Amino acid sequence: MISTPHVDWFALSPTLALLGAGAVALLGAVLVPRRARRPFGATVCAFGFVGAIAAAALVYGFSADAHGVIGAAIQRDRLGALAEMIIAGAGFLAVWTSATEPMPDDHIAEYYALLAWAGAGMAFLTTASTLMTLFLGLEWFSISLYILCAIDVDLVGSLEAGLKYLIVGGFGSAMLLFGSALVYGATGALRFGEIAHAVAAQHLSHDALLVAGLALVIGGLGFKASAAPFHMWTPDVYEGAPTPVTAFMSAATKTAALVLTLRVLVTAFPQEARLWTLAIAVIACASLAVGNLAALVQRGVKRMLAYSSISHAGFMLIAIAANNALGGRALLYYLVPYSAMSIGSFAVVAARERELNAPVTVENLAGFGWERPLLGISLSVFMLGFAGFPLTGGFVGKFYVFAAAYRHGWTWLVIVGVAATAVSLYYYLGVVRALFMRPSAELQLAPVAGGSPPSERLLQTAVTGALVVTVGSFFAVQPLIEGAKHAAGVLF
Amino acid sequence: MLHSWLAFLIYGFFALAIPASMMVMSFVFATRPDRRTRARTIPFESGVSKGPPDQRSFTISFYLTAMLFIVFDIEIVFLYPLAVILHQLAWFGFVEFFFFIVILAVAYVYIWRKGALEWR
Repeated sequence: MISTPHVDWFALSPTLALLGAGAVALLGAVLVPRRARRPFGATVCAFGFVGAIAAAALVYGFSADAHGVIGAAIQRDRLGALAEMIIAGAGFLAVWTSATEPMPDDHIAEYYALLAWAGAGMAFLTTASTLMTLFLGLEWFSISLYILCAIDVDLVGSLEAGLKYLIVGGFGSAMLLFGSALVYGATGALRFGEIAHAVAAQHLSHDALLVAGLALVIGGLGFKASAAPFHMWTPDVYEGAPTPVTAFMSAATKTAALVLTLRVLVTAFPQEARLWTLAIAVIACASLAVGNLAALVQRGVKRMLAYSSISHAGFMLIAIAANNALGGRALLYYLVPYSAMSIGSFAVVAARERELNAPVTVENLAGFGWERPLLGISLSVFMLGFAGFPLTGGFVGKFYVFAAAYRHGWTWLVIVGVAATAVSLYYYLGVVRALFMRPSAELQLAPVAGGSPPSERLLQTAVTGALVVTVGSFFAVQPLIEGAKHAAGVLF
Repeated sequence: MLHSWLAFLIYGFFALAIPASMMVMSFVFATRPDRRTRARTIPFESGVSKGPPDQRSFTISFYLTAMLFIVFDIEIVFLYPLAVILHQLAWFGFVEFFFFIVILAVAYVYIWRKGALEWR
């Protein structure tokens, strides 16, 4: 008799909601009349993400005791559920941002189907608790994103972005897979918990296979989190992909990759903590240096935000490197305002892009703050939030991250982080200056024919939502930290 | 120390030795005259030289149909072993496979309505 695992459908419900929404959206691509495809796809996809948020909230509520389900292939706990909520929230805002994106109608329903499936893959990844499910989830959302980057074939650079992401992402996946194979070879275990047991039982902590495997796994996950020195695809892909896709990638992919990095390192490699905390700290420093220094000289706003996202990967890796409860809490808290600020700022860039019909640079943002006060003020708040000013969640997030590193005894890492923040002020405030302190007369570009384009309600709703989360996470810090504490409590 | 890294040394040795030996052997065991004849300059794959370039054109539909066939062929490949042990897997096997078929059915409706099965 073959022993079959019990399938906990409830634990899978956030993933299933998104999978179902994707399937319906895909059928819409062929069964719904052409004109109705765009609203149909967007509505179904939005409902999928709302369903995933609700399902993840329920899983969070009913999973006070963490346990493995479905043959311990995935972990049902609050860490995964909280990350799923952040990912689904990011996806929901991305749908609002996409709704009025001037994309050809040819593949519009497929676009929403892939967006939902990418979200499903990420949701699945955050709950993975074996090396198999880890790789499955990673490839699942990566393949969806490769296509999403290249989906708007009329957009200059879109195909290039897709191809670059495919090749570099494929290399990253291969690294992760090779690392997993070495870890399996050394320990004979696939489940994270069993890897740790095998290392302890067989005294493998200095085993060459295991250490090499760990290094490759960290590298593979570094590609997905776009941490330096695995970041080289980020600026080109973020710049070339359709802006709503960039918005979704920057927020949700980073959430999934970083939460999984925390989970796999803490649960599978506790004996190697001395090694990986240092490795992650070095990667964090490299990301902060590369991201901030390269962002200083960018003129294109999308490229600047791409480098900014690399530096934020650095900040969040500091929290992982701390390897303590405070670090886990800091990471999960930081992801909330970071995702909102990221999606919000790319949404504003998308709005400006549609007005100008040209790539947005710091120069042609001039006067935008006066023309569209809501978007201008929102983008300023996001920039101040990225820089870590009070009254935004970015301030509290950075504060917690530095507190975690300090508690670990790494004052030097705090100093690097503070220095990086000081450097970042230059380019973040540069955007605010362009928005409000330069007259629009400096603007050289001719406006789109037919006068001022209509203001976009749907996109403005997305930006407002992101603004509310960014500022709200500063004032509602207590409940959020409580949630993050329960989630990180699973690991520490 | 060396002992624990020995496996990697051996791995690295073979990773280099296999392609290197292939290249060296193709020179050493070459039986044909040294002259670089036209046929020898043509790239070959898996030991089969492609010969002179083919002027006939294939329609892209061949590739599309072949790829779609593989997807549904794999479905059948999974169905046979399931049929053999369905009694042991019982409802679990049935539900799991039902999901698999539903996913493929969605894809089938999509490619059908999209016109991928039309021969053009």
